[in-house]
Amino acid sequence: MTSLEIGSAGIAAVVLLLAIRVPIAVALGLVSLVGMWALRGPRAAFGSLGTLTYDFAASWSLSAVPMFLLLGAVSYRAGITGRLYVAARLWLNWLPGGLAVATNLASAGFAAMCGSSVATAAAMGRIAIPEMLEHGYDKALATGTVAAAGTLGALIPPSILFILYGWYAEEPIGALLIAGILPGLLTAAFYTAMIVLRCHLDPSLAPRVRISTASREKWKALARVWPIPILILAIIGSIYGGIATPTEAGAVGAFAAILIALVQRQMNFSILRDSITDAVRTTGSIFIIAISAVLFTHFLALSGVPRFLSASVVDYGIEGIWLVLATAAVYVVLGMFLDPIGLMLLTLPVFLPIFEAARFDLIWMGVLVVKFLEIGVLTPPVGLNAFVVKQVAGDGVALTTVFHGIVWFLVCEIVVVLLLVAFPAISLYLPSLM
Amino acid sequence: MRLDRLASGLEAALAAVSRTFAVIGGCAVLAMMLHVSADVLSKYLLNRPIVGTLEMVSHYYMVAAIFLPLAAIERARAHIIVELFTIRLGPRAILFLDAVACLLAAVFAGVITWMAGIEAIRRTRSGEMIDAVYYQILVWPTRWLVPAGALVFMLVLLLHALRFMAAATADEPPPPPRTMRDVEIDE
Repeated sequence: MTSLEIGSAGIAAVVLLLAIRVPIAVALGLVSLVGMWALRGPRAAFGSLGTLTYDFAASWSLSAVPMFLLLGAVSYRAGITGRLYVAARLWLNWLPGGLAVATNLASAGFAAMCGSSVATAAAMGRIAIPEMLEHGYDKALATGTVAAAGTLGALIPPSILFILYGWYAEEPIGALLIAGILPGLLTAAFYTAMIVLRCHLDPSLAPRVRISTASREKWKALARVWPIPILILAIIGSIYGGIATPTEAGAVGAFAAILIALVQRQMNFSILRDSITDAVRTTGSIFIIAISAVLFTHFLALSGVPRFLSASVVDYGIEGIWLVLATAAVYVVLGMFLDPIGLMLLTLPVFLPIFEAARFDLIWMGVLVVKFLEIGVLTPPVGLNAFVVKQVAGDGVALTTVFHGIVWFLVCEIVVVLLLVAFPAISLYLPSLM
Repeated sequence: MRLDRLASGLEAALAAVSRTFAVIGGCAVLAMMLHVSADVLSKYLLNRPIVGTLEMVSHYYMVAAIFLPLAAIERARAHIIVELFTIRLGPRAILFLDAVACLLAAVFAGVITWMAGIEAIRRTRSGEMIDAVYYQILVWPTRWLVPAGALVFMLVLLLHALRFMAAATADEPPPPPRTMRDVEIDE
């Protein structure tokens, strides 16, 4: 077999192993070891393993990951979801579709902290869906909003996806985190405008809800959540101003979140223990995949597959826009099977050399990749978030209804992606000021 | 009968070790947060950073937080897998596939244990240190965290492989263990 054939066989083997429930890390790692053995012998395969595992973990820039995960876990376990929703609901009820808008914005804030759109959809769905349905909201609107809104968090800092992308692509992580802000806000604005417009045109979708809006109560609800936006802004500001590295921002952020929860009497030993358990569990399962992704990169580089692919892209003179569309298609299809972090680590070893050959701006492309990954968890027939929302909503709502609701958000996403592709400045303007 | 008792004893010991390792990993994350926060405060309030923060975070806390909890994550069946293609299979087939997957994973963990173990011995002999501005930090002990974590991970995987295989070949296969995702959703 030629090197290229061994490389291609390796990619096929990974896909096959994934399909039969082999953990992502194991599929990538084992195939890489066997492949490197076939290409260069056992020393090439195993020689680097002793140092690679350690050197990979002993990394300052990646230490932002456990810190952001801890920050997210603390906010989640200390019950911030519920309070964000209560406050947003009181303040936004005057809008057409007010509950849906409140869900949308509360999810964005919560997902930014918690970092997982799937966990956000599950947590927010449990609170917001019953309430919207009780007030006669359209089922598709209620469930679609919850499924879609969690994806906003991946672009708004702190974002684990950007840290991992930045580490892999060797791009500045701070700049990537900042690059996601405007695209994230733009998407949130489109979502909100779409909900308001639809509910304005067809009031039967979202009957007006009368909630006692004594302004004392409104301020009281706000007083309970104001630390969250302040914390997010402080994290963004300190990274943006170059005052703190992402690790420092994450560590101080997590510490502050614990203090806030203590002051609000939402923290005790078991909540802290559970938060740390969550953070450690996610850290371990992400990093073991990332280590295998490094092995996979070595294996593919030896096989020459990425070089071959990027040379083909250049030889055939494939235009940038087609390449972006092809990337989008791959992520949307694969996003049906895999959660975003696993999928990104799985695909970057193949994609990144192609992006480099096409001379894409890697920060701009990073924003697009994260966007595509999050669209992938929404798309029918098997978007992960839709399943989660369906399970949370219970038997009264069919999966097709959830997807009916999501379609409107996907339309927004298409517009946003076109804007991001047409105007790279939306992603690159803020980092250029750093 | 005595073999059964031995097996359950081993299993309990393995559970205790992996839990202890996970707790140490958790303490490492907490220590990382406190150490970095203290460094930031000291840097801006007293204009005096804590020397060695970066080295402690990378070599001690990160390595402990990543490798020690691997076994506990497997015990919770929380390593990330793709479930979509096998959603329609019966419990027997899924248990069988999971047994095979655990065996493959054990091979991977075994190779890491072996290679990282050799590296740890080498670094211990040379007494590895790194420079942190005014003084040196001992780092060779942290080299042992990788093979230690991977070894316990491998043992848990082998145990799971045996148990899934036994369940798959039982007269009435029990339902496959729940994965992390199910737990997250109905929590």
